[in-house]
Amino acid sequence: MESILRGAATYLFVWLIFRLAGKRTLAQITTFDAVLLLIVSETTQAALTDDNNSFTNSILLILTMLGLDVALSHIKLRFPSVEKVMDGVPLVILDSDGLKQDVMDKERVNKEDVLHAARELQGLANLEEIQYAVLEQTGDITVVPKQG
Amino acid sequence: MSQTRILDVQHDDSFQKSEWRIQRVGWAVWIAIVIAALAGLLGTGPLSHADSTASDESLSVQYDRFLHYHKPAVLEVLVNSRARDDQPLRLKVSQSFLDSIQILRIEPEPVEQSLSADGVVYTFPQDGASQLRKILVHFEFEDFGMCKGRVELIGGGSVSFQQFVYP
Repeated sequence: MESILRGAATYLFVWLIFRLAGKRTLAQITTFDAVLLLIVSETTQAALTDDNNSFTNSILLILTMLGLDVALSHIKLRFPSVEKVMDGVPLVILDSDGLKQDVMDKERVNKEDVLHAARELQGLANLEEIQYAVLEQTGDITVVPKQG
Repeated sequence: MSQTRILDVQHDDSFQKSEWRIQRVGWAVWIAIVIAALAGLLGTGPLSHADSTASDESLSVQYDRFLHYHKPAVLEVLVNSRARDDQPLRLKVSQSFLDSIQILRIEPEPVEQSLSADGVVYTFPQDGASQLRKILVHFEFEDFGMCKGRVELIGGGSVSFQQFVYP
């Protein structure tokens, strides 16, 4: 029973902490972000197993966490409001009125991030060539170019 | 001429504003947890360290109020044995405390352990040279939650203490 509770509590805690940290926390994968993610996973592993390195414990933890993930994906499909709470909503950060600076400040996104996504995804050179930029639930920025 | 396209994206401004508000509260709690941990409310630290002395001052115990489950800890027992340096020291540790912990080692090692009605009596030899004896009990908790302990110097005073063990 302890393994199941431990797995469920860890799943919920990791979800909560990444929701609080915001969309951009691990979307900008710099070398340091990647190392930080590894450290977080190592720390989580220690709390999860608690010196119980048995095969049964590992199986129970995997079943619990993947099971929760699958169950929640079904619930999110059925109830969009749950999906909003679990994953957040996409945010338009550039439209016909230009950059939405207040939204960007709150999500820790700057103009350079938008231009980076525009160059990388669409080969666009400047903001004038972008019709919309959206900060997705995953923390990635996607760009819709102007047609013409 | 550029054409304007309609962006079909499931954005929800009111939800997003609520999310930002909750996020700010979450950050405040986050910072509070880190400050509490630095202060020693979530483990060892300045506010965690405590000592308790028997009314006749024959015995005192130094301990941490807040500990972690399965993390090694130390209970420091100081015995003022001035009046009893011709006899071995006998300390009784309460059974309720022993039920919650696993003793890793005791320094110095007791020469004898015996069961009593409500605890275990540890006997230590006296060398007669020092008046103040320090006994270190290295242990880790096997339960979490509030834990009460009691140490008694046989023929002397007793000390009670409480520790909170985080899971």
